[in-house]
Amino acid sequence: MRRATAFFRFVLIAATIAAAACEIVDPDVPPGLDDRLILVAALNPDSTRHPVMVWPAQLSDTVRGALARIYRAKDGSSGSEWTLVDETNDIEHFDICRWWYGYKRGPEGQCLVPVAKLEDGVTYRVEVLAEEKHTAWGDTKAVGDFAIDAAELSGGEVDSLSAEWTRSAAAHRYMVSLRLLQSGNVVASYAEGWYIAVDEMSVTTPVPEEAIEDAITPITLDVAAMAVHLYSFITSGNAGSAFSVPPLQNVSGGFGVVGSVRFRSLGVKRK
Amino acid sequence: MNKLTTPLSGCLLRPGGRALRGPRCRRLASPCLWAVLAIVCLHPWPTALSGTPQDPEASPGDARWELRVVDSESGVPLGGVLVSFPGLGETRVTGSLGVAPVPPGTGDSVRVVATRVGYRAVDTVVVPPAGETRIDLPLVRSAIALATLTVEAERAGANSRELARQMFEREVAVGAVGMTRAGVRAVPAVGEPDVFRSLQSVSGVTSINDFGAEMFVRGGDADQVAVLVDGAPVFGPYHMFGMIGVFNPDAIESTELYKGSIPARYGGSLSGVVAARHGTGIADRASFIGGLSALGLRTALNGALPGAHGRWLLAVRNASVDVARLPVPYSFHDVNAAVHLYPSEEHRLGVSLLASNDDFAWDFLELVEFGKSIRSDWTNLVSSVTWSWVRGNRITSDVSAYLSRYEANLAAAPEISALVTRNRISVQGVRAQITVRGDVTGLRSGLVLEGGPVNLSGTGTGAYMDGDASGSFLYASAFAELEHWIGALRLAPGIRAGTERISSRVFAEPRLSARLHLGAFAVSGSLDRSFQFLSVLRDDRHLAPGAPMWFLRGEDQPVSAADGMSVAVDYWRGRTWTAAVTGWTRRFSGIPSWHPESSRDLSALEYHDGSAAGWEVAVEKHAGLLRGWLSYQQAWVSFRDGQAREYWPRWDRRHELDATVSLEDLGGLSLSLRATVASGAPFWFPVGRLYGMAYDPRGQISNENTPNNPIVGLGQREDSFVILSDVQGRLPYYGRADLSARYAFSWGDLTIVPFLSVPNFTVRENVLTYRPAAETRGGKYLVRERQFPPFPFIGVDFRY
Repeated sequence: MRRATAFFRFVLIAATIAAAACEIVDPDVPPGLDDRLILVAALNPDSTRHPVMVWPAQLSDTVRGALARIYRAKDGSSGSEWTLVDETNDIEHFDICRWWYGYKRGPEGQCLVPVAKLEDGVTYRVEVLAEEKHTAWGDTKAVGDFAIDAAELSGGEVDSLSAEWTRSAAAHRYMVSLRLLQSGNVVASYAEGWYIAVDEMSVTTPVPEEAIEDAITPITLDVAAMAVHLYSFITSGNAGSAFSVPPLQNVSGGFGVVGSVRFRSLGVKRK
Repeated sequence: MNKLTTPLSGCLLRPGGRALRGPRCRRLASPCLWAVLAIVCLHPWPTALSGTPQDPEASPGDARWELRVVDSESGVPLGGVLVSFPGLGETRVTGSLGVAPVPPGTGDSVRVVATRVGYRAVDTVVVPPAGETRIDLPLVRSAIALATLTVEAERAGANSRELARQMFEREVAVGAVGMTRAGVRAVPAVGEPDVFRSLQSVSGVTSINDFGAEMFVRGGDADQVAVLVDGAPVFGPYHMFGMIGVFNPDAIESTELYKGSIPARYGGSLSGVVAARHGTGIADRASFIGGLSALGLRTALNGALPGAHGRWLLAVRNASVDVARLPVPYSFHDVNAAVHLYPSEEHRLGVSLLASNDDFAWDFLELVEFGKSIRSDWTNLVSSVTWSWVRGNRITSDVSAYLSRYEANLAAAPEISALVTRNRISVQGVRAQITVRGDVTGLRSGLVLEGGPVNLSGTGTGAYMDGDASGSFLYASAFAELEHWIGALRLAPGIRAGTERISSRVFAEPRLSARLHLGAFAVSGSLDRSFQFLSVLRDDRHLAPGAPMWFLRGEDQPVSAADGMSVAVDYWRGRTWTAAVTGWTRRFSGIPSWHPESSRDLSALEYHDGSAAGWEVAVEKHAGLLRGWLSYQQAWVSFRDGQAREYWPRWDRRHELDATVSLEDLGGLSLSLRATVASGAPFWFPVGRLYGMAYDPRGQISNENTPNNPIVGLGQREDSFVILSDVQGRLPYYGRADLSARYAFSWGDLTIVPFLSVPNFTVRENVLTYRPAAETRGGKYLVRERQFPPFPFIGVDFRY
């Protein structure tokens, strides 16, 4: 027994030394890990200006000589042949893109704003080129015009919202929300603002009390028609570090999203 | 030799087995002849030349003469006879030629007790014969004891040495290891004792991080190790994000792990098989085992069936971190049940059930480094019915039917999203096999029919996966395992052949194994080919915890295949020590690998080829105050992607040293230690971050203040996503030591065992992965994500 306990003690000490004694040495990072671009563009056919945000995929890398192009599919949908609609290499102040897309944090990238009048339901390609970088591009259909026909809040134990709108061409989902007041400098959080996503042209749904309390008066209904890639991008993935699962993206040769969105609003009647 | 005589006393036996009396033997006169006898008999060649397969635990030099156990009526040699020598404290098991060497130290006579299933036990005194090196010991058949004893013989060994020996004797399977309940408890618990984590500690089994109980064997991915309970497949064999196994350790009697060299009767997996068996206990009265730990409560009851020859088991585990009063939305439950009926001496009926459920949402405790948007739930329902018919000692037939249902959901998305990847499997199977045991030749052959729907789909654009890979499969296969002794060589060819309906593919899996018995040593080798039709779809680089997602290959997709070769030298020393050195090499083709880059489309799925090789050495001490096992493995694994670029899979650990030792029964106190030191696993260098986008109704006022800005409602997501490069590196070397202390005391018939377990008590900060720094201040680019911190688990086990 004495021998056994002595041996156990020896193994214990050896294990401790082996497992803990040596300092952890992080591996060296090889230079030039990645030459891809990150590209974010949400085309809104209500506007002729289409800001495109561009970053290098690699941290602390830079983008030089960026050029953004918008193409239109020649036959409108298949995208086998493309017609150049506009291109620009004018770098705008990055705050224009930040404000446009509500980006408040993260590294500063480059902002390019090509101009194009988009047709409902037609497929467009946004492409970005830069020196010593892979060309990145993504395709999307421009969501069509639509209108909100009715919006009504009915009381009861739980408030219920009923709304109807017309179909938007190429819309995958409609994001329905009550317009909220942003308080102070609170960082935007999707989890704290009430909204629902529906794929029909009408909705009848209970609304949490907080959403109505926080809503701007007069209460306004917002409906955002989203193309499939943008909707997927904002509703998928697990942000984080240890178990980061990237969101669904549609940029080839790089990362990010090219999508389309269109907004409509209407005052809500109280019943 | 012919002139040798030996002393006589009492009952004597001579060749032919008949007892003799009288002065035919006389005392040996010459010491010189003893010397000659010693030299000749201690030399290994007589055993080898005789071609007699020996129990490897007996070294060739031990035997001066040997016993051959035969059937009293037919004179046929009997294998598998337990021959013990009470006066010497030694035990032997006869090989297929019925021979057991007599240990040294025999005086004028030696007491022998021989027992075998179906035969009346013999307890006699044998006098070493004059002029003979072999003496026959006849056994008389005893039909009455046959059925009961046969059932006992099929029971897995209660201790590790017994189980290992049983597996070793049963077949030639290079690298097969067994894990008993005691072995499971010998490994310090992470929460509570776990079959899978215990198997991770044996030689040749690799794990990739502290959070996963998955096993990587012989260069293959974790989904290439099939998990079976009483012969039925389990598709979601893990609980707690994959941290512990689905088996209640109190319900499982023993678990066998086949590494690479898989018997032909098992099909459908490339790298290994974990075969667990429910245990219904052996005590006459009902018994109760259980435990309470930080994870929850588990109980297992078993006993004899009233009014019938049979036994039953019911085990329930309910684990929820609510026990610790933490607001963690995780819970899992499982139920194990089994009934073993013995309606007659020749028949046995077994019914088995495993049901489990897991549910978690990864948004608790503000563990931002893990993200806040993973939700997963999965359920298993696995049941089987097996009828065994034992005809004499030579023929056994088994027919079993099984059902395995698996439902899993995995969403890596904000809660608003209805995007969920779903997996639905309902597999039914029938297996019939017959085993014929002969003295020199044996055969096991059978038929398997298995099929059912396997549906994997991402809803619409999908969350974790975008696409659909659904179908229904049907396999029909036949297998045969032949065994033939040629002297000391045990030759075991096998084949499994069949067809799969989706692609009308015909497959054949040949296996050839052989083992040469050289006294205490045995040299084994095997060649094998395996196919796999079902695989798990998993992002190889962006790992997400949760349910495994199985998919079925389409008609135009390749089937995974592996060709392997293994060689092992096993050493058995007495009843205490065993050791093995194994070398292996494998070649893989058509292994699914999913590297979605930008999209998470199923079309990013590729099929890669690869190769692996390695060697390992393992030593185990089965008895005594200090027990445990020590193993070292060196292995190389590499694959080639669709562009023929070579890469290391994440389980490519080059070196791994693992030690599990326990000090038992120090006045009720037991201490156990597991220590692992391994080279770092591969990882892909992170390059940067992608800042995601969210729909945020609160963003509208700000945007309205910006002229000409029609974008309202869009905002930035709270956290960012890691972007990985195509360049690989290796994590720093891994070291972890876990310590556990258990103290057993009795209160009447109740035994209570409180325990304390401290994983990673050395406080080493092992790296799980790296993420890019938010900024490269001071040139620091990589930020570590840690694995297990030291965290004490307390609990109490009890049995009644």
